[in-house]
Amino acid sequence: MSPVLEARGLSFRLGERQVMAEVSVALEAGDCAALLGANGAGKTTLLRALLGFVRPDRGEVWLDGRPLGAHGRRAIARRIAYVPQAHVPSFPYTVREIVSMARAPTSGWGSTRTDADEPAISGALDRLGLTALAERSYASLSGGERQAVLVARALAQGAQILLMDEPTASLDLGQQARLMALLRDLAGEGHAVLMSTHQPELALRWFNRAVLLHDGEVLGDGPPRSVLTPETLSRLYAVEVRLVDVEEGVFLRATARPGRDRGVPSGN
Amino acid sequence: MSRRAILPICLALLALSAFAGLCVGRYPLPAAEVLQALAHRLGLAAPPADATADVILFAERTPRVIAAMLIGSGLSLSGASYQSVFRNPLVSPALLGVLAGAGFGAALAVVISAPTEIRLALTFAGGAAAVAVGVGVARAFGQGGRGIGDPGILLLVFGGLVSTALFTALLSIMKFAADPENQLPDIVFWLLGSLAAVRPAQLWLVGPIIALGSVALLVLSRYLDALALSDDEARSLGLPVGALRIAVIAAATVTSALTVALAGVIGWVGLIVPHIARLLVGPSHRRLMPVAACIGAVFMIVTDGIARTLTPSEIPLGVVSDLLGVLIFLMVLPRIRRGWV
Repeated sequence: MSPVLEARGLSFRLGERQVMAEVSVALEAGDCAALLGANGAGKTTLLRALLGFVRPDRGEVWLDGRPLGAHGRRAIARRIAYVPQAHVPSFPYTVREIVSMARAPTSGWGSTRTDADEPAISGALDRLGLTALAERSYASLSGGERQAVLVARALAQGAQILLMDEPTASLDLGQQARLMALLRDLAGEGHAVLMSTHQPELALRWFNRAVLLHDGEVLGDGPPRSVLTPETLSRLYAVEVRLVDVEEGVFLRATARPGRDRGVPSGN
Repeated sequence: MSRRAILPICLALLALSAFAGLCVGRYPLPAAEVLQALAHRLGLAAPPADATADVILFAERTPRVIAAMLIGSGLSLSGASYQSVFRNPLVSPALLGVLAGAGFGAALAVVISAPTEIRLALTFAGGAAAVAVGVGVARAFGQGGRGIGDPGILLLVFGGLVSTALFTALLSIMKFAADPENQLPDIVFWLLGSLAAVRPAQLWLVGPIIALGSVALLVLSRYLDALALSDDEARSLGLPVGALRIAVIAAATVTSALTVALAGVIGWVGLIVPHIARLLVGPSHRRLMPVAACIGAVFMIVTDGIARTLTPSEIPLGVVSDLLGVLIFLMVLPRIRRGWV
């Protein structure tokens, strides 16, 4: 299968510092990929580059077999949806209004709503269990609910490719599990999902692929169970990590080494 | 009350207040007489018996009311647009220094005793120069890997502070340099704002451009919702964020600088009216902008009506609009706060 979205040898410099070197990742339909790495490893930079928000110093992003730059902004928006970390906007939009903004790239900013818009919006709200909250103020929701609204907006956009920047950060256990199950379903339906996260357990439990970024380079890329080893995890997060097989999966245990971790208090 | 009913109600209020604006003043005109004079102009009725009424109505009051409508709606639309692109409900058209710059331009014209047309041009040029300085400062410091011409919001706010300070200082120099007998009172009066000096000739010159800028903002309003989110979100929804932001700022700048050319520096209409409109129809800009334009126009007509009837000599418009604005703002503030939690 040919990749839908592809990073080819992306390099970024920030002044003198090389923050990303020769990163290549190809995303295919059906991929449910977790993007893992310590803070500052380049996860967000990679996502932003894949969306065309930043141009790499070297390398190229390809979408549907053509360089990203050859697609217009709106054409990209029809193919790639982005889920940022939830934040509170300055104005009291309702949940439905936030989700409706997704229909801009398909219906065109100049034209009025098309017939496809309303089902797309209600369908997305329904799929995230937000129908009852549709007329509530987005700003009045909890962090987890707001995140769900942004996922609904991405679905309403109708794009095949979903890029998500740590959407699980503010979710409780149940919300997390529901989102992961949804992402897995979406990948099964032919979407391509790439989600950055700080929780390797999620990758082991739910994802069919893990991409490991370490100091701006790809440390590993493949099925989570083969890529996420004690060795790679220990390098990734600079703590000693053990993987413990339990009956239904893998249990992950990190042990910080006093004096060797990055400024975080030690402990088990 | 349904949100759909708000705009028609506002339009009706606008028609009503415009008509009332034609009737009130130092020489109150009975409604019937005003109607007859209007009908006569449209070729529907005999000329009114009183020729003075006709002169007052068409040489004096009609331009004033039209100017009030244009200024009120122009400032409200600019304010709502600025609040969206700067993602801050406390922003007014003054943010990028446009009002300070326009005030300086007008003061300069007074000091060099320029004729009216030059004064209008200088006022506009001052406002545009101030925004150019603000945006220029922001861009000079904004090379953080963003798109070309898009310095980002925080730097624009910073640039606006710099340019406001600069043009306020320049304005002070003009006041200092002005002849204290004739010119200084002129400048001070101008800065307080008034529609008393609006003549049909000026209105024909400036009015169409304010109207054009307002229409441009109404057209751009469909982008304002997404622009009010984060840059990355707006981009991921397919918008050319930098270009759009510049377009919105340009239209809002032209509009608000020209309101200063017509009527001086008028308070914070541009800050409060968008809040009132948001309270009535919600934050979605396609609904918000037309309602804000209407409410702004009504507010300005009413303010001007009060300014010219309350005391025998006219109270400066800026004073009345500021006082009225404070009152209304205090009234709506609790409800605005509730919407935000």
